[in-house]
Amino acid sequence: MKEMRRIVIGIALGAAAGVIGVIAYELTELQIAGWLTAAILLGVASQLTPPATERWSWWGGLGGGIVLLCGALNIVIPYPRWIAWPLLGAVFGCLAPLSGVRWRIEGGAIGLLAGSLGMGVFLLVTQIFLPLLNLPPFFDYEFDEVGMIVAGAAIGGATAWLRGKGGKKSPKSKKRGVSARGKKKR
Amino acid sequence: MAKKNDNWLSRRDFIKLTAGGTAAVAALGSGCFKGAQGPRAGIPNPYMRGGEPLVVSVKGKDPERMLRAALEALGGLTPLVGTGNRALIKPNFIFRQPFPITTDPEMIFLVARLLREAGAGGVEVFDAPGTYLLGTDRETFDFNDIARRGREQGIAVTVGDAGRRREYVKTKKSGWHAYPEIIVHKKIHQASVIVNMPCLKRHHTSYLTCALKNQFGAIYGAQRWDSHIRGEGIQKGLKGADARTKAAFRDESHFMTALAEFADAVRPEISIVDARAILTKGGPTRGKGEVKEGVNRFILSGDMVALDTYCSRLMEQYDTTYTTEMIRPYLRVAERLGLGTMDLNKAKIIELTV
Repeated sequence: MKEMRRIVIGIALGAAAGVIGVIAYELTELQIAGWLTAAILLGVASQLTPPATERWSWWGGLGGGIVLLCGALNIVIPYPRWIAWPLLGAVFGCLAPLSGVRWRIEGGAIGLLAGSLGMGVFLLVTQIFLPLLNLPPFFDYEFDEVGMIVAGAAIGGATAWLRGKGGKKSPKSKKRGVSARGKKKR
Repeated sequence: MAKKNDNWLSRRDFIKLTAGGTAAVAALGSGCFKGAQGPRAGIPNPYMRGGEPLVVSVKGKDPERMLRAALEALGGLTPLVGTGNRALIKPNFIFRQPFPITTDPEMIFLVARLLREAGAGGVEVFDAPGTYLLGTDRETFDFNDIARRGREQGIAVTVGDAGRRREYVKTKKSGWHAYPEIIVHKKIHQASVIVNMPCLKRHHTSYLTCALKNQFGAIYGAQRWDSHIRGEGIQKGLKGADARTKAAFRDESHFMTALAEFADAVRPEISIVDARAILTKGGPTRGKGEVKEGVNRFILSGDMVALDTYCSRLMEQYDTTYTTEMIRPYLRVAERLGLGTMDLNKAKIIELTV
């Protein structure tokens, strides 16, 4: 139940990050402004679900940095949408578990999946499943905006779930001149 | 006092969830759930004689002489732009390939000049062939360098994005069956006069692309793609062009009806088909068909249905694999919608040579 609660909160906070990104997009009419806002807040949100580690501003900066990098890469790779959000998910997912290489690799894969599916699932449902199943059409929405919210929720939920995975994090030694492993620093 | 259950949602958590959920639902409706507007009204076809729509076909070698002669026979552009109306040119810019796969930019500039001579208050070029979702939004415009060239000649160039909903407006009209509401680009919906400049090509889905099919570029991408999936299905859509033309539709009636209704949502005032060269045997790209040079025609009309029927007969002369029967389904729907007549006996055909 604790884990379920953590995941539900993660989903809600991730979706809220997406929503605020949508508001930024609407106000500025700039896709990059919306993405940047959502990515920064998603980084912060991923630190609000316990057990939180590191400074939330660092995580927000990491999220924003990934989006800016993909925006810059847009000159070379013309599909930032399909790179930025899966990459965000992969990075947050990889860093979410407390420790353990296996968990980090799995976390990265799960996060990648969350980001990819989040951006693409609505598109898939409305553009493929609805017409093939002869259901009434629904395409009266902005791909980007819905994608931000769904991807945010998926990454938020995945990150929150991964938070409880892995072994105990080694405590940093507070003694000056001594490393975390107890060895003297030169 | 009962012990608090640590595993259940706290009040703070519940508030967070509710706030997030409400905001998410509100944002989903960001502008997209506004009511539908009426369809573009346009100007009724001024190119009529004795109650019959005019179709002018001119053969020659000099494009400017040909167009001037054809417009004179038709009635000129003054009935459309003489009062200073702004004109919007809708070309076919679907691929990064030159004419006759896409509209010749030189012809766009020529028509723009003729529009200005007739009194147009301004000329703009618009199409929305690609989308940022696939990185294809500016491909064909950049291929033709049309933005820069247009600027030099005082012509505004607008590159629409098929995947950005905010650029489109929802319209509604009784009589539309495939989609009761059609989402059309704002530029098109607000245009005073639309000059349709298609090419004449074979097409793997609609069999022919000309005046009516060219209006696909004005419709919201998601709706175009939906019409393809519902009409063709995935299997037919994934086949190569030849096989795709021959493969059975999933719901042919839906696709053909949608094609005609999309054209009805746009209703260009005049269509100018550049048939100096045409694409036969397959299409709509060069790799899929054969370019036939030396056809040397322009065909003009205010009646898209009569125009497509005439151009279809022209295609029959150069492509033995094609017949007008193939496009009769959407010609019929277009006629029902009042876009024109598919009976060329009820049209006035003028054929010239310059």
